[in-house]
Amino acid sequence: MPQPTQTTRITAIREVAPEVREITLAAPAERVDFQPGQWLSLHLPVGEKPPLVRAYSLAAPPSPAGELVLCLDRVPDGLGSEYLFSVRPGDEITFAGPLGNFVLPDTPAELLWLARYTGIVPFRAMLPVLAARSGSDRAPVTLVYSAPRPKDLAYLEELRRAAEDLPWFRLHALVDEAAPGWDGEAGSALDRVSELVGDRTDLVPMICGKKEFVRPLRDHFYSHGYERKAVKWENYD
Amino acid sequence: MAGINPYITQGEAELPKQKYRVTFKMMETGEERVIEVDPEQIPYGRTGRPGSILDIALGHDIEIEHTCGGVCACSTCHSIIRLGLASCNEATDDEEDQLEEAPGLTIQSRLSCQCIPDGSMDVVVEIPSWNRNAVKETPH
Repeated sequence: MPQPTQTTRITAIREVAPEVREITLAAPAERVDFQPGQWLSLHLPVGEKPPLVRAYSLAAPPSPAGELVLCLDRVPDGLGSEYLFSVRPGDEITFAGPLGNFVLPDTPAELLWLARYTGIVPFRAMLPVLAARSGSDRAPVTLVYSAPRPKDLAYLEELRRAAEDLPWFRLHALVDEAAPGWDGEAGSALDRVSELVGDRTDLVPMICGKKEFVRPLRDHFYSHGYERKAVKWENYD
Repeated sequence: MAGINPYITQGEAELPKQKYRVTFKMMETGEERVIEVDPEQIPYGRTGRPGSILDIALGHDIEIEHTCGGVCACSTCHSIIRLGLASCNEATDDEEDQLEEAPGLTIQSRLSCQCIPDGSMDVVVEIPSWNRNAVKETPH
């Protein structure tokens, strides 16, 4: 039996960074109950043998109205993202899901979130849920959020506001090279993580991005005493 | 998620140099299809690793569930390699982690999107019918 799919309409599209767009879907007939960090499997009417199946993370927590928000970047020569950069409000989208295991761990331990570019998407969905269920005494959640350029850091302003409002949430926004007017940090995420973690083995690392970002970070934790299953990660390429 | 992973670190795989056959057994319908794989035709599409069981199946209109788009991020393309497993690339730890989530796991289980025969022998693949909707919601 194939995964059940349903079809809904796009209600809104907004650009959240250059070549990064957020797509809002109307609440489908059957409510989608998901955990932040999960993704939808989109069945797109493109390719030589449609549907083309591609997965995209949900960018906002479950809403009372049941609408669904996706966020993705345009992948050069990527059939799926090229299509999703051509759609408009009112167009239909067919999907299955929710799916995926990159979700908030059931632990009060200190979390270390590491995101590159659109790897921020699952964390952006997790943060409001964590805030709603946590008191001011919750163990710290530190986000190291890296991207090539300042303007590639989608959702940066709201994350900065959250870092001001939530006593346990710390943000390190990081670009590859310092740019004029940039008031955040610059350099490699691996170096920053190495400094932040030191000899600690009690953190819960969660890493999201492409493999070229995830793998060196994952290996860093493994070589510093972390068990394989203690490091949570998701890559999407 | 893009369809093809450009990074070699995902585990070496030798692509076939000669033609070989894959027999697909669809356990849900009892249907059986024999496909002759032509190395010149690989990749058949843009989903799953080039030359993988999933790539071959989708290229011949054989349905195998692949909700993540064939990037080793779920276990829905789980298949059982009944014959010819020795001619396939070794499963990586990442693939094994995903397989742990698959219902009905066997020692011949692989993810179709990651399993690439080298063409040195014919392959028989079972596409399980059970419970393809079930996805365990546990952190990996």
